[in-house]
Amino acid sequence: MKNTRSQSSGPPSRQENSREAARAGLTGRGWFALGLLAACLGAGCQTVHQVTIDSISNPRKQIGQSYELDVIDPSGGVDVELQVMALATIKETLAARGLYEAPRGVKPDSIITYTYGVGQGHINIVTEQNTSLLLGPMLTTLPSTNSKAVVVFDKFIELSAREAVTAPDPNRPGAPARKGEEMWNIKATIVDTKNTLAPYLAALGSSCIDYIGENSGQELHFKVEDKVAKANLKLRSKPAPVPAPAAK
Amino acid sequence: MHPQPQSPLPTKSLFAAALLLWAGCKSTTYVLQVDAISQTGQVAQAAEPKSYRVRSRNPSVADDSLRYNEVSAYIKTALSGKGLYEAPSAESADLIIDIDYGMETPRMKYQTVIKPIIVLTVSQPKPLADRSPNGSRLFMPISGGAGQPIGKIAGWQEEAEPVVVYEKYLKISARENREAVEGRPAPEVWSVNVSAEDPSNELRKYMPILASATAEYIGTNTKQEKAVSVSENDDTVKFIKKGM
Repeated sequence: MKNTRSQSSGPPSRQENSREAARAGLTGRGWFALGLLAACLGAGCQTVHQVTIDSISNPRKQIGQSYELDVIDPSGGVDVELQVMALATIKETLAARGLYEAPRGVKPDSIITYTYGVGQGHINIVTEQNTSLLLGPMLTTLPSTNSKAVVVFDKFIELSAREAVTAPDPNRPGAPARKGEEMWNIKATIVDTKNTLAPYLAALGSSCIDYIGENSGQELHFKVEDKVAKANLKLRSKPAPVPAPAAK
Repeated sequence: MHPQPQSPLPTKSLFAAALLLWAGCKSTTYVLQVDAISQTGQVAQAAEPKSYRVRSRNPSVADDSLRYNEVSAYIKTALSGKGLYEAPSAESADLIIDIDYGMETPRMKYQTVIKPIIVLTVSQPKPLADRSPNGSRLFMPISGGAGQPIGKIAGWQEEAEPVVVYEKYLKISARENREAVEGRPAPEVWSVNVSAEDPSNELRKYMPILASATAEYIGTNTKQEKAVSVSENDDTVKFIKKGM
């Protein structure tokens, strides 16, 4: 497509000048509009998860500071990338709660069984509320609802901490050592249409931090923004800085 | 003489009463299905078993897990309300009570909802402000709209709406504590099955509610499934939650 204006010669007419000015003005406004659009899109791109937390604790037991992790990998070690990510996230989560992995050869306070995975898909109804479009008097529409069935998946992590018992069961000589008493248990779940766990690990882990070793009494639901969850996990899992000695 | 200012007490009392009423109305009521059966009527009163031991009937629920312990504590509280007590050992118990609880796979069903029929009408356009013929006074219109459509409720209609429901259940059954004879288990003395089917998938929240309904029907015979309503504020629910 040819640019007709570039072919014209001589000084530009008054009309062309106004067009030029309008174009310049539009460009400026265009940038503003683009910026606004980008900001809106940026705000719209915030990934917010609806997390369900269910924690329970043994009132007679302490939370236990050191732990040994026993991982139950649903993929049987096939998805190595997910395994590495899941392990890193849970260690960060536990560190954020003030727990640390017992050094090799040292008896830990607890054995934490860590289970993670994606549950079987099940049907759910999503109801969309069509909001009014404020485009003009005649285009205003009344809000209406629209329900549709979708398949959703439960993405979960579950931690169960038991006392580290190494003594064999006296009632069953020769049998392997019995499990210790459960100290605390927590389960975090996100339900939506995706069936991959990796993008949800940070939100799940971050949501658990303050409920580890606590008793929520029932299922609790709250919204977690993905970026905030990641930042929270990173920030809280770092050891607190050692205060510098006061200068004499 | 100045009139004495009225005491604010009646207003405050009214407000407090309204608040209490509102709080009372706010408690959730659950509709449960109860199915209970019992053979205790056939047993002589003196021979009625009083002591028990509980165990998990669901292989996926460990007997020593905190979650199972929480549910079994609710059931033990419910049993205590019926005069039953936990035996010090499995051998000395009169009854062995099996506990099974959980949530079924969600399923979709249609429920009837009442929705308004909204009719759009165009409002009278608002006239413009105008001055009097001599220009001394300005008349501002006080009624009329901008000519925009206004929605009005013209009536109500019933609609079938899809909804996903989860069945939460608690089943307890008591058997006599004796050895199985020729592979046949000891006879069942009583059993109570309670379930709640609604859109909530919060099993843990429902357990004290289900246990409280169980408490009412231990050792009774409903003959068929019976719908009962249980409120969060019921004394039995409070008793179950408080525990022993």
